[in-house]
Amino acid sequence: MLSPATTLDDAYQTLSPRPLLAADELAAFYCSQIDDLRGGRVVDRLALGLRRAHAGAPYKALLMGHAGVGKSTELARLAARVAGQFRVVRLSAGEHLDPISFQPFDLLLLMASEVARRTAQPVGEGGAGEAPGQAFLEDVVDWYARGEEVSTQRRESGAQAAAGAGPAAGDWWARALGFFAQVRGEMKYASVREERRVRYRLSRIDDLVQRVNRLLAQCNSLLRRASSHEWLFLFEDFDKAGISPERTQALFVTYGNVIREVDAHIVFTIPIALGYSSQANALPVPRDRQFVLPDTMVFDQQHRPHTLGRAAVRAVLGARLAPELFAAGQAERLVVASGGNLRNLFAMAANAADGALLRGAAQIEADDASGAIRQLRTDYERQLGESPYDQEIAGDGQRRPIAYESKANRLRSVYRGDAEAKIPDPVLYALLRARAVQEFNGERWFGVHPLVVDLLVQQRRLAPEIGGVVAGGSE
Amino acid sequence: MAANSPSPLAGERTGQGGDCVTDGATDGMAEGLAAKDADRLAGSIAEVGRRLHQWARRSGAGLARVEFTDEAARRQVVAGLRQALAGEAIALYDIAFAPLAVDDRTPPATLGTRLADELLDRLRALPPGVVSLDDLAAALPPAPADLAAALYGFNLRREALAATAQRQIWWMPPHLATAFVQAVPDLASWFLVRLHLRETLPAPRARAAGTVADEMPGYIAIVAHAGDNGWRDADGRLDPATRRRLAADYAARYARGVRAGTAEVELAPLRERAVEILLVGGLADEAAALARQLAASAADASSASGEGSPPRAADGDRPADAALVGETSPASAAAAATASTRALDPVADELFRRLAWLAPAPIPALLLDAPVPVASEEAAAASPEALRAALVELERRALVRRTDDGESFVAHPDAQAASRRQQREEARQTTRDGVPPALRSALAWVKAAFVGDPQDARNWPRLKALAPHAETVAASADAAALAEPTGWLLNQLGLLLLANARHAEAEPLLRRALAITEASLGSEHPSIAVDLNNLAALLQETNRQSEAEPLMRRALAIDEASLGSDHPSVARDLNNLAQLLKATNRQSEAEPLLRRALAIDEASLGGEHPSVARELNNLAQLLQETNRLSEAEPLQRRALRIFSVSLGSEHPHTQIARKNTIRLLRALGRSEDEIDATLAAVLAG
Repeated sequence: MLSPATTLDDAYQTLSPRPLLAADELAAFYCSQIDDLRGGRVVDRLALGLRRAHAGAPYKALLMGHAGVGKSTELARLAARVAGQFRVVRLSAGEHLDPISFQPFDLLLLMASEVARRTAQPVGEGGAGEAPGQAFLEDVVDWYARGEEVSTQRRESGAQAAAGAGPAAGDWWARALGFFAQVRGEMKYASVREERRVRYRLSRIDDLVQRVNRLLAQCNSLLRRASSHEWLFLFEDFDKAGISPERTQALFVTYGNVIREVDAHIVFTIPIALGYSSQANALPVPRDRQFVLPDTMVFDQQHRPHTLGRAAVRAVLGARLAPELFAAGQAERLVVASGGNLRNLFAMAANAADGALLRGAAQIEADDASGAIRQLRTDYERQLGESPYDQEIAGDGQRRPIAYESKANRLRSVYRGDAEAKIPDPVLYALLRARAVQEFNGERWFGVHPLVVDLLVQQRRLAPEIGGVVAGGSE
Repeated sequence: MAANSPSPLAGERTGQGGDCVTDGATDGMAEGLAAKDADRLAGSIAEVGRRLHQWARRSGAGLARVEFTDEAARRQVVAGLRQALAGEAIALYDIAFAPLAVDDRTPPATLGTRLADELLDRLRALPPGVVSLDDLAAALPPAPADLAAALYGFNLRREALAATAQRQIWWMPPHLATAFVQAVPDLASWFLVRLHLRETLPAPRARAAGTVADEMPGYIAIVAHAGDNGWRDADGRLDPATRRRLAADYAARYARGVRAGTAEVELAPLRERAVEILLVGGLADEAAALARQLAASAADASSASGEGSPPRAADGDRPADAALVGETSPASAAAAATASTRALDPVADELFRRLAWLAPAPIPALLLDAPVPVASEEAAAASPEALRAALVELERRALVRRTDDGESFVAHPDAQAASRRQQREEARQTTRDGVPPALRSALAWVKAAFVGDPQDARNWPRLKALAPHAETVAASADAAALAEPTGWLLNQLGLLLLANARHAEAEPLLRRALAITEASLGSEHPSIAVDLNNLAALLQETNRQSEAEPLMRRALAIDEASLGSDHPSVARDLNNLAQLLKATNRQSEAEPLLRRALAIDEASLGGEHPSVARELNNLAQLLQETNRLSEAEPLQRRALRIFSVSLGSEHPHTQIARKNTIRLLRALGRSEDEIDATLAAVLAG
């Protein structure tokens, strides 16, 4: 359903947490006000850089942003924006690599196998209609297979008779297909890889970069000849929970030269913590190609309503649900309570819509919205509690769960806008991860989520100001 | 504060106890009377059931998480939901997570991704509908750090999980629900429906529920009538006679409910219970009779609600009995399927009986072209043309449906299950070994279609499409103690997975293939050596050389004893063992084995056989590794020439030998021109 739901029963069809990836979804649901509000025009800048790089030096960029901010959607917009010049290969660290054991050469082999496979696809399916030359591909396969010999012979099957039958057309491509499958398989099971083999391969990684570069050049050449396009890699999810931070740091810092030297247009999404760390200067991409996607604010720094921010979030909601589905003021309540986080917004709207339906109503009323807000606030309440999953190193050198008191103090400090509240440490990262603290303008403006403000007020950790109200909360 | 204690925020609020969507506890916000009403229902079985039903009755995908503390209450919600959805022709499937068989080296994150991948496989094999996912906590590690790492694995698959064709209900006990929001808030935010089932059943009913749950897994509503029927004996157990009486009682109640048009809501689930009780009790005749009765009841109901007879499904001319198959509750579908298959013509009946042993996944239509193992008088009826006609008949009765691309079809999973039960029951009474004949046919049928070397990528599209069915039928055959071709099929499947680097999945299949071969042929048969070699290859690829070596040595001993020391199979074993020794830096031990293998193959196969080239290549590599380059060169060149002549210049083995030759010549200091000239000379013969 690609238009705003006009009945509560249809609301679930348009309230999806999935990123907008398809062109028709973007056209139906994307609201440019969000992009305008964030500043920086990240997609415009990326598209401009890529257009300038077409048929020239490879363009590489890093994209960062807190969870749920819309990185995948923005990359889909980028893909659509540059579709006239680039064919996009979207890869995911979580899906295509072993999340805890991946190595720099895995990245290269994966890129090589994907680009070769896709280049061979028909022009109508986005390929060049021609496989890269055997020599280029085998150059990479040879690196991969070096040291492997014809070895074990396994149980014969019905195809045994084919042996000795002479050459078969396309054998080398069949071998290439085997290589692609083997690479994909090995990526996923990298954790059982022989350490000796890993060391050996790392020692030869410069050689692999050169071989992959030759293959990439040929694939780009074929694609340019077929359709005037070049390959663009969008390599996502290095910032997802579950991807080893150590391996990510090794890839982007220790082996940053691999990324610098590979001749491909690539945009990576990396953890924002890496961008804020002391290692940021060692990242393989210049500062002007490191982009941060900030959250959308519903309050300004003085905790006054942010009119433009609310209007932008309201526009997102309006693209999904017709305004008449809300009683007066209720959409605004959800917008504020969402803190500008769209998944929060959709969860609350879906919840409120179901509540109204169960009452037999046709509109979301105050009680429905209140129920949805309470439910989300309870999730925040639970997230903020002391947890074995948020740890810091205590004075005795032991890792311990971060005390709730530390979180609450930091929240208060962030709320007040204290300068030292911005200094990254495990407490701030825990709060950012829980989305209790948000970052708004890419310039280290942090704020406290409105529902968390509610909770701090209830605990009397934030004192009411003028008129007996604490500004910045959901009500 | 203890590490796992709840948020301190909770303690400072009045009456705010959790995250039920209708929690109306006061928190300083304005609340109306409706909220007070909601308070009364907050977290109740009825309220959570209504919320879930409201959500589940829609089409499309989605994720819901429900926290619960009382298993009996959870079951009651599921039972009520199943009943409600059944009336709307929406399928509700149950998936219970089970702990994966993993070794100590498996990182928790890998465990998470594997569980998620397995779940994805199961979801993708299901038609659209609603899935109730239970027992996740039992499959996850308990330690917080490991639990978080495992949940990260699910987080990495969240887009794929959210994109399947079903609405998924994830049931979570409190500790898991807390871990979910604390450890993986990103993943938690993808669940748009978040409920908290607070109600617990009164203690006596809960206890009774537990008893019934133990004795009849998955069936709880009977408990509501337990006091009326006095069905428990002095020890609190069910005896077969009681089960039979209950079944008849419930079937009668159900039938009355349908005809009267009342009490259906209450009694509809009981028909499932009745069928299941009978089947559990092994009372086939009663089950069949009841199935017919239920199908007739449904037809009557359908007829009564329509304007004419015979009753028809809304979307075409499917018979009334078949219409039930498209419905939601497995037991009602099973009942209808039982009735429906009785009306099939013999070829369609035989075809469906065979399909029943395949996986509930798309079945490639090419399977219909595979040679069908039947007696000669039945051959004409079992021709591909006859089978295609039979497939149309099955489709008409909604027992199968074609996939959108027309290249495959899917058998109704509940009808498959019902048919398998029926076949097993018949086989117990009519065959000496209790093995359903259609299981044998299905096994041979899939084997006939599973042709082609699984290590050759060109065969993968075909074999991968057949793989889930091969695995399913092999599992049933294995359970029925059919040794061959079960062992062969498992071995081929294992090799297919191994060639695709899916080691963890390949290993149990190769081990089972070995066990079957060993059990059926004895421990000294040459086929054992083949299976041992395959398993050893997997162990070697997964860096377990110390486990692989004894298997290889045993394979060698078996072949030497049974085939003689000069047999080519012995040469193969020697070659494999030599490669392992070389990989573990025991070149001096490897070399004599390779030389012996070469001598055996040259003597038995002649000097131009590819196996000879294999040994020459491997020996040349060993010599190169031990810095005897000059000695290696003639062997490597000869290997390349033999491969080129016997297999062709494009064959992978020829290409590997070519690369090895180039490396060797470079190591010998030859120029590129000299290398080109040498290669040209060798390949020219």
